Parts: sequence; structure tokens; C-alpha cells
Amino acid sequence: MAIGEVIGIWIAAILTFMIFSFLYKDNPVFKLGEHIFLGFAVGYSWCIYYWNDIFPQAIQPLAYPGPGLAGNWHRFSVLIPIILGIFIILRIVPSLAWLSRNSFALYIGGFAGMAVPNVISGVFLPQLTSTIAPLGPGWAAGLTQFVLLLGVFCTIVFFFFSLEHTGVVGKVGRIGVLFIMVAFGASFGYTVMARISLLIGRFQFLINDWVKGVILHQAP
Amino acid sequence: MIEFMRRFLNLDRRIIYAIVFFCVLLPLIYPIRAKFTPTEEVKRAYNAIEALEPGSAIIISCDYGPSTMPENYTFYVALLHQCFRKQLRPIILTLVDYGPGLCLRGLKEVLESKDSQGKLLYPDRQAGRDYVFLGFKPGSTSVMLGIGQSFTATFPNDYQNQPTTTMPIFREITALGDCKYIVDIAAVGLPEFWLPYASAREKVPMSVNCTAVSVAQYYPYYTAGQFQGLVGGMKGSAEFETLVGMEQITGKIPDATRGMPAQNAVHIFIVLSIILANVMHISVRRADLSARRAG
Repeated sequence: MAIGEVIGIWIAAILTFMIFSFLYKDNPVFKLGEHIFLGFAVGYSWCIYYWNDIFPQAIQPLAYPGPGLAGNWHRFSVLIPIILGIFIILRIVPSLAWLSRNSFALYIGGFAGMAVPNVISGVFLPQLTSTIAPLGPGWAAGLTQFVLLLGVFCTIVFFFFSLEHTGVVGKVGRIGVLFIMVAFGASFGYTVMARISLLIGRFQFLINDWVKGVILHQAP
Repeated sequence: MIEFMRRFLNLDRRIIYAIVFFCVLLPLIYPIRAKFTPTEEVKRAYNAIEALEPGSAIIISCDYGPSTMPENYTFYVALLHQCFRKQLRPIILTLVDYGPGLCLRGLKEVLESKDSQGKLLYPDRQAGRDYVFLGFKPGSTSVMLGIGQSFTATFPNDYQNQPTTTMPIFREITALGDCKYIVDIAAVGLPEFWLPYASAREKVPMSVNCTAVSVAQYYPYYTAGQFQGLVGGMKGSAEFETLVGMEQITGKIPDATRGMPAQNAVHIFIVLSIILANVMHISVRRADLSARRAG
């Protein structure tokens, strides 16, 4: 194992223990680990964004165009998005904050135009078709489809506030609440499962990479 | 007895943490083989990819970070093995800034994997011809719509800064519509963007590997047939590893499969704790009510 990798594993193991120390109680070691993580995460993201996007898309065509682009005036078209981007940053200057509205208007208008047809045809209509599909084939599939339809209907009634939730509407709404509770329960169960998976991942790192790989020098 | 229950209900949370600690640690130190049958959701994802013709291009979008590696990275590695074994051509990209390192690590791990005789499993796979790693680009929907028009215009260079226009893979596969499948490996909400802006728009079927947290959110898309397969969490990844035959390929128990006994142990502990705590809570409440009635 290369020395750089060994150092990296040691740092990762120490940071893991620093974060785990919160399980006992909040403490300065945990806070230090948290701040190191945040600092590195921001620095890493900045580098990735700079070298993958800002430099090749904005700086390179203007400052280092290369032989292929040098005589091509088309490269200056990147100035338009750069200026619109600067307008957004100008929100921090109160007297010039109004400029950002142009950028936001363009962005929101463009995105809405792009989203509406795609989301309606790609998500909304297929979901609607699936919800009101014919019952069956077979009683089991039919029952599933019926429960799905009932759940959707009752949940919509629960969120329908134009009618007072009394009588039939109140009862149907209460059934809707039961469906919502089941959905929350399923979501929470899955969330617990996910968090345990992450803990297992950390333990696998500590056992395999740190203890076996670095301390005991065993092959992975 | 009631006093004991009362004390138990106010148990220090650190004792619970300690029990969870041992529930995770012991099965990892002393591995037990957990038997599980792949579920329909995972089988469908596997079978759909297995049914593709050799040479077909498949988009793999790695939209996850280090924090969800046990759930997503394990699937990514198994998926790459399936692709290379089936001679499919993966076009790998990431739409999250923390993705490139993990994409590259998984790709290297699979390309460098060896059989029991020490020979490389996929010695003739060539970057730019049999697979390509395009790297990261921000603006998820713009990227999806961009590759719907042209891969080379959206990604003029790959992650290693090689021009994509000269790559043999992009002579045949010019845009997303030329690909046969999309797999989004996601720890974030991007499958809900891949669906309308790529899969439905370009009529390319897709499957999703997501964290367990998101499974409930994505089930409606699976039941509607919009996602052909849904591989959820570490359990889904372990099932996928079983279907791909990772243990036979690499000669060792793969990570997600190895983590499942620990997962089971913690789940059993949580379920027992919930039952026990509820029984005790009801008993204590009843005892308090009777004491109040008595005087």
C-alpha cells in the first residue's frame, strides 16, 4: 500500500472517530471534525466546479482559446451568460440588485418552458394513467389497484380544504390520514434502513481498510 | 416490575447506541451468510440489462457521493461487471460535484479485477471505444437535454481531457436516443429529472438504484412501469450482486452482501425494542391509571 494511501486511511479513521464521539455527547473534537469536513467539502466543490465548468466554459474560450478558436469571434458569445451570472451576484449590492431580475426572469422562463411539456407528458400523464388503470388481471392485482385508487382518492379528499371536514368528507379524509400514516411509516422504515447501511459502510471501512489493511497489513 | 419498566423506558440512549454498535460489529467480524432471494424489482432491472444486445450503449449516471457508498457504490461496481461481461458499452457521467472520484475509482476497480488465476477479467476494454467516462457537468436538466441532442457538443472532452469527437464510440452513438438503456445511481432526486427529460423524451427505458430513504418516493414510478427496475438501498444492491454473481467473479463476498447480516441484526434489535417499549409503555400507563383510580 502506498504511503499516501496509508496516511489517507489514517486521517479518514481519525475523522470517523471524531464524528462518532458525538454519540457520547457534543464535544469540541466532534465540532472540529465537523468543521474540517465542511471546509474540505466546500473547497473540493469549488475546485470541481472551477475545473469542470467555470474554466473550460467561461475562462478558456476568452483567455486561452487555443489555435482552433483563436480567430473565431463566436467564442465571445460566452460573455452573455457570464454577464447574466454577474448580474445574479450583484444582488449583494443593493443599488444594483435589480439587475439580477433579468437573469432570474430568463432562467425561470426558460426552465418553466422546458419543464411544463416534459413533466406533463413524462411524469404526470403516465402516473394518472397508472392510477386509474382497469382492475386486474386476477383478484390480487385488482385488489392492489383498488387499494391504490382508494388511497389516492381519500388522500386528495384530506387535502381538499374547500369543504368542511365533517360527515362523509370527514370520514373519507380520516381514511386518507391512515394512508398517509402508512406512507410515512414505510418512509421512516426505509430511512432507518438507509442510516444503518451508512453505519455498516463506515464499519466496513474501519475493519477492512484501517484495521486489516493498515494496522495488520492483511491483503484486502 | 413496574418500577423496572419505568427505568427501562428512560434508558440512556448511549446504551442503545452501544447495542447497535455490537449488532453491526459482530456480524462483520464473524461473517454469517445471510440468505435472501432477489426481489422482482431488482430482477427486472437485471434482466432488462441482461437482455440488451452486445455492443449496446448504456448510460450510467452516478449521482451519489461518499456518504451513500454502501448503498450505491456496491451497485455501481456490480453493474459495471454486468456491462463488461455482456460486452455492453457504458457511457458514464455524473451530475453531482462529488461524483467524479467515485466513478473513476469504481471503473478502475472493475477494469483491474482479476480472475482466480490472476488474469485480468476484461483485458481488451478500451476507453473511448468500449466505454467512456465523461466526468461531471453542472446543470442537470441542461445536460440531459444536451446529450439528447449530441454527446460531443455537451461533453467536448471526457474526464481525462481527451476530445470526444475523435472517439470511436461517439461515431455510432451520437445522442441519448442511440443508447439502449439508462441507469441512474442516485442519492439525490435526479431520477425524477432523468425520467421526463431523458427516458420519456427520448424513449429510452431506465432503471434506478437509489438509497433506501428514496425507495418509497420512487415506487409509484416503478409500479407505473416508468422505471423498469428499482434497486433500493444496500439490500437491493446485495440482491443485484447475487444476480450478477459477484462472488464467483471476484472470489470474495461483495460488500453489500457482506453487510446484510449486520443490517438484519440491527433490524431485529429495532423491531424487538419497539415491541418491548410499547408493551412496557402500555403496562406503565395502565398501572398509573389504576393507582390514580384507587386513590
